[in-house]
Amino acid sequence: MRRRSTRSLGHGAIAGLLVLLSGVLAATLSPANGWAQSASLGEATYQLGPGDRVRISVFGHKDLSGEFELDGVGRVSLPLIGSVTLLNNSLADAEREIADRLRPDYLKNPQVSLEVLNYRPFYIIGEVRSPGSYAYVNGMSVLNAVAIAGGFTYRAREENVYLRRAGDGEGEERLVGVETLLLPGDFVKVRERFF
Amino acid sequence: MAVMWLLALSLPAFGQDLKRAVPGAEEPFTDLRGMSVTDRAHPGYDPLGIRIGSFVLYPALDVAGSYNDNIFATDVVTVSDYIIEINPSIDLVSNWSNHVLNLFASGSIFRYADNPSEDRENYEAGADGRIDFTRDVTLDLLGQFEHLTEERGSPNDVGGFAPTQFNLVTGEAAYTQTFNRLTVAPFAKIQYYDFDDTPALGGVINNDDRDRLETRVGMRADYELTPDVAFFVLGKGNFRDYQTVPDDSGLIRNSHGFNLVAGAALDFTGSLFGDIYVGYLSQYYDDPALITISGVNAGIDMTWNVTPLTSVTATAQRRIEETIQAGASGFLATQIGIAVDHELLRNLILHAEIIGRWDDYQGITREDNYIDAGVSGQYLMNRYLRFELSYAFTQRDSNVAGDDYARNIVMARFRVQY
Repeated sequence: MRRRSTRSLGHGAIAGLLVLLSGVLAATLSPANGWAQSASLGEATYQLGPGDRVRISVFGHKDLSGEFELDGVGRVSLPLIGSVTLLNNSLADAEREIADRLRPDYLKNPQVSLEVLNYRPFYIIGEVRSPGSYAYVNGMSVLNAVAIAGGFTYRAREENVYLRRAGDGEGEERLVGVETLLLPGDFVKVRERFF
Repeated sequence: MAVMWLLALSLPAFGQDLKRAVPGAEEPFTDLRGMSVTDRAHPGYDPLGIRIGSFVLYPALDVAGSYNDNIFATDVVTVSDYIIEINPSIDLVSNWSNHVLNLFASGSIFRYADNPSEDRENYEAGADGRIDFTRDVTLDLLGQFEHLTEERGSPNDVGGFAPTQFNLVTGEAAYTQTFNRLTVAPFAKIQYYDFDDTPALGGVINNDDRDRLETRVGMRADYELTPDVAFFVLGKGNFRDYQTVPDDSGLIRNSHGFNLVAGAALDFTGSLFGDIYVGYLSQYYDDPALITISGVNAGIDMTWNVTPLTSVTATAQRRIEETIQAGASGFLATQIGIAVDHELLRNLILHAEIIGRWDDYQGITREDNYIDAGVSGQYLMNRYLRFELSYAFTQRDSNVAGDDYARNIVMARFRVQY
């Protein structure tokens, strides 16, 4: 008895330490919203934001499933459970959140799956042929974004661009290279050069 | 086609000005291969013009104020002055899918603040166009009348109370036909100079002995080796017939001559292109007292688009010019120049140039060297207004005592256009 409690205490301590560590790591690596910065996209965890279009499927309950779009503050309005805020949740967290709302009043053991259909657009302005907002493509870089926007104009500064991450709100624009990975909702500004 | 474009560099400039945005036309070109800074259209800053039927009318009015520190181009004792130039102009440009017709007229009114004797008016009117018979056969035509003033710094200036004015009537025709890789372009040009009398000490200086008819005929043939390299041969003969023979100094200045060159028209990736040529030119004078002028004729007219924002142009040429200097048949002018154009902002274009010219008089020992240097900045405020600030320096260094001069001109120019 005592051993099990010690082991579970030890497990709990290790788990707690791991959570703490991962929290610290996540805080330093990931921006306020969007993908956690990692070299391989497979490990990234996307965080939902306003404008994302998601498909929520509750197994066995077609009337509770459907396609929904996050509103301006990251909420979706689902049948039965009403308004759920999914802002800044990862997909897994969002599924868990919806499942928690369905249980125990409506369903005993809800199986929720959530997938993102359309990401928020990214925005690109400045010295590109057709500035504006365009659909986000998975794994795209700033250079892809410029290509989608019609390419650099003859006056563009091509070495680096200004980038403001989605969800940074009042955040400042950073100077980044053209190989930087882009996230949905990002704002890219291509500067003019003088020589 | 690269060859046709390069042909235009050495033949007189005809046809439409690429920079004009025609209403309803497709997006004006801002980034074509081989486009230099001066060629580029400026959407939003180029005049739209007034549509009249199938023509577009471009009216404009330039007002320029300048300070010239040596208005008489003299050596030791110089006179400086402030000058206003008012320059109205209209251009009527056709908007057809085939053929081109432009009618143009402009005037320049110069008013000096302290030296009203230098006040003058220049004007010109004319028409030029192109008939497109087929895609490969075109005929370029030009006819114009100009009333001009000889610059005080010109070696032909007689030093009268007012600068010498003259009328110049010009007619040109150039026929171009392309057969596969070969393009032949015979051309002819006629110019008639009619000099006015110059008021001077003792009355007037009669300049009628300078009136002349200059006729030029020639042909250029280009063979396109690759789309980027064409070899060409250009030959022209000229006849200069004076209306009054002999002239006031007893010389018969009638002459005839030829200019034969061979060269290549090159285009390296659209960023370095132009002509280079070498050949021979010669002018024979009817009067046995005037010696024949001849020499090697080498020339270059290259543009290098260093970046889309900067273009460098290098030119070199030689020509035989007429003179009134007693005892000299003419002079062999050799000129080399480099110019840089830089588009600092879409609507701010900077320009700097330096030109060196060596005039070697034949029959007398006189030799003049000129240096012309200048910088200017053109600011396109909007479609209707342009502003230009420029500084020009000219220096002549002559081996004839007292004929040197140095001159600085600072000018600010406003242009109102529609």
